[in-house]
Amino acid sequence: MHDTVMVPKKFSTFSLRTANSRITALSALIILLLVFTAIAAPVIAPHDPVAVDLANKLKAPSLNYPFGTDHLGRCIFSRVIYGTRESLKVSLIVVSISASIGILLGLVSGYFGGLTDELIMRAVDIMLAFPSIILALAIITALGPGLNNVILALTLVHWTSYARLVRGEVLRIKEKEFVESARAMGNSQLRIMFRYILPNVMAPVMVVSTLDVAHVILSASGLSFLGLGAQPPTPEWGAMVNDGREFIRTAPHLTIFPGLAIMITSLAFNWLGDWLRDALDPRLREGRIE
Amino acid sequence: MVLVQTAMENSEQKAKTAETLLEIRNLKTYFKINGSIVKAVDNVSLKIINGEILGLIGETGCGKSVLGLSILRLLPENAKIEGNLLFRGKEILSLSKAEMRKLRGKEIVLIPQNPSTSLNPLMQIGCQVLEAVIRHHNLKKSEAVSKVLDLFSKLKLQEPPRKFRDFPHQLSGGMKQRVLMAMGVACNPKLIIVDEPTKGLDAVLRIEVVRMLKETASAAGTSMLLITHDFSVAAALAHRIAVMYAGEIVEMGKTAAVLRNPRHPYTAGLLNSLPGKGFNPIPGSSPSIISLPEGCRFHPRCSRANMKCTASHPELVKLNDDHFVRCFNVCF
Amino acid sequence: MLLMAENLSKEFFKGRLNKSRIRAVDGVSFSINQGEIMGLVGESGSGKSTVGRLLLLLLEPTEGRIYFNGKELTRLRKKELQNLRKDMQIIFQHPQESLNPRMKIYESMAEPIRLYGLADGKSREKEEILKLLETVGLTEEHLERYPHELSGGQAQRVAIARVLALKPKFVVADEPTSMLDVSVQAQILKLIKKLQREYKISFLFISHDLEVVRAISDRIAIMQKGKIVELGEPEQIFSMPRHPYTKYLINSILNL
Repeated sequence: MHDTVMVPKKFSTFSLRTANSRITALSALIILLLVFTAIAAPVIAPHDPVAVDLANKLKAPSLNYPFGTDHLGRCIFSRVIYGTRESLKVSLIVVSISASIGILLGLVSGYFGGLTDELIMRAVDIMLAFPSIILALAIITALGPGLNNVILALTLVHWTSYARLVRGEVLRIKEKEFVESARAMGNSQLRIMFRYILPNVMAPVMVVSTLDVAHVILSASGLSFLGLGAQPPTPEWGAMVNDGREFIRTAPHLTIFPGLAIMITSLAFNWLGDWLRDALDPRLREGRIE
Repeated sequence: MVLVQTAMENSEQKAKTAETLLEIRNLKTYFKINGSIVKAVDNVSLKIINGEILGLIGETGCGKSVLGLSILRLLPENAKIEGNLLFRGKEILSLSKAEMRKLRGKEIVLIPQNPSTSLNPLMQIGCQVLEAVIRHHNLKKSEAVSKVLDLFSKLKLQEPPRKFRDFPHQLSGGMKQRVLMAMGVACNPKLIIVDEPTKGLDAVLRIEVVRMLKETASAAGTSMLLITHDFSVAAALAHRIAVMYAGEIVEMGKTAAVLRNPRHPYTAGLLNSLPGKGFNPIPGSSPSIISLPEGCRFHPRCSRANMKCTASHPELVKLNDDHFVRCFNVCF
Repeated sequence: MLLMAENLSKEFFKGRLNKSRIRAVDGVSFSINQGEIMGLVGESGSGKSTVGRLLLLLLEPTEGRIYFNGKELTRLRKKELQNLRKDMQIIFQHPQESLNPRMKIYESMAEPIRLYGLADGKSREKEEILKLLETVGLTEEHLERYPHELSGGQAQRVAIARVLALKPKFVVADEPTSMLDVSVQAQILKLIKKLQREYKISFLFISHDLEVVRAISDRIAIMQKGKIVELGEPEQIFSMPRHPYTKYLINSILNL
């Protein structure tokens, strides 16, 4: 009867965490590799990613073209490598901007409460009332397709989750004695918000933003797949999958390789986020016996 | 004060018809943490006889709660238990997992430390107790319900039918403690392990919980291992007291003897640090069980310590028929 | 007289439309002299912690006045109040939670000193911190740790040292020992007594433990449901309690 009640959480996850460490190491390695690929793309890529060579179109993977060529004879390997740049660029920009906006609004909303809180949270509610991808679709339709508009649309959709998360955490932290003590010491509001509260809400934000990177990569690829994101000839994974759609029976390598790239990247960020969640949760830290 | 006297009378009566319920011999509970070994419970031996309440007293981190959990083998995987745990003559440590589950909740019950987080917040409290009753008694639902209501009124929870439908957040700390107690005694266990029943309660609730524990124990004749840091709670309830320091028992004896005439400097120091006795603190702080001092574990804080105490580790010695002390320079 | 509360009340609003009101503190008046420890006792929920926060204006009183050093706090401007904050401090029940978990002990200790410019230069600051640590019985090795790496008693000492840095005249101690072991509790109580004696600091010592309050206070106020029902010297309260609630509290003490 007491099994679930009594075994302290910090112990029950103890052995689990060591088993997870291999996956974590793998995902960290993948992400490092992705970043390196994005930076060194011109050096690694054997061909120009946009160079059309109709004589060599739809070639199966070979030594010269490791992932084969597409319907315009472009090297898919080189395009996947350059695509890393696009995906990472979009996701990092979207996540960092939406996190900053969300954190700031959440902090203000949770700390001051009252009317400010009502206004900000009702705005969040309105944003959340739309299915996010449909909202993004609507925005892009209004502004026209293109990667920059994808970034704008996804940012407008994504900040809400940060605002909510941060607000909730702020409400919790605000009641802690150390915040009260900071007030009693005579710290200014701004100082309390940024020096006492903000550092203590960052852990869950880190987790969510890591998971969010995966989410944004998928959304951006999805939008590009629909022709709303990256425009040809930009090498973007989602757009490449779309290009290969017609040839999926005859030349599946056109879709498989960019598809794999999307999958591996988002998996790696998801794993890393899961690990961060465990690692940053102070309740899961091993150590003391009560 | 009245409570103390009756507790002592009881102990004398019961000692005569004593039969050992639980015997712990050389129990060692070690944890492996980051490659090093932490001795949370180190070579503890004690006995609880039928109908007896043993108070296990100690400060944060002395291993008293781990000792309680060791008895039920409710420890995480990185723990290693050695020694003997004989419950009614049977070795607990060699029971299979299924046998162990039967033992828990039916014969040995644990009332956990934190009543507010030990109840399911989304379930009516009556149903939570009902589960325990049905699981162990094979009763029909209607019979079980009336048994629960009966338990509630025995434990002085007012308006049992209404309490049955309440959710945990509607109850005060003391009442939650009662509900946990009702779950515990629902299946007439032989031994109840109560972990810090009064921690965080104010004086009024504390005396209420003490009364309830007392009533439960004397009504059913259940034995109890009362784990607490509070001398006055132990004084009111326990027949015997064992004082734990840094994983070891340093003094054990009849409640009155230990409280009125503490023989170990640590026990004496704890008693002197009570506000009623002028709150004279023991210097220093409890050692971390990760790095224990050489020799007697208490010597760095002890005013009576000498060369011998720093050099060698004292054994638990018998002073008279029922009083044991782990000290070279016993107080008189 | 250092501090005086006059007819102090606090109402909290509850419910979605702020319909229901709860009067947590209901017309409380008392005064505290310079260098005096005033014990405030009551059950959980009696409003005793609220009183402590009202005195420091951490909560806005609904009614009533607070005088500190002859000035009426409730009428002061923000700026003036900010200057007075230095003189009135608070220590809390959960020592580990009263320190910022993301700041090392040194940073936490340096906060008040920097905030009020109490030491010029890094070396002076460190000197000051070491002196404070010595007063509360800690050593330099604790400075590089984080709050969760300290024991409850050590964290409470840090909290006290931080407050001492400001050389306050009045400190609210809100259940400062209720989460600590008895031997540690005794150490902290001794420390508070020492601060009272050596620095002439006045305390409002809030606790549910009558015995602790009896041992440490010069006067005791008993609080029930937001009201002070009895106030007097410890010996008088314990030998001749007048109010039935006081008698009830005294009867619920578990004696050894």
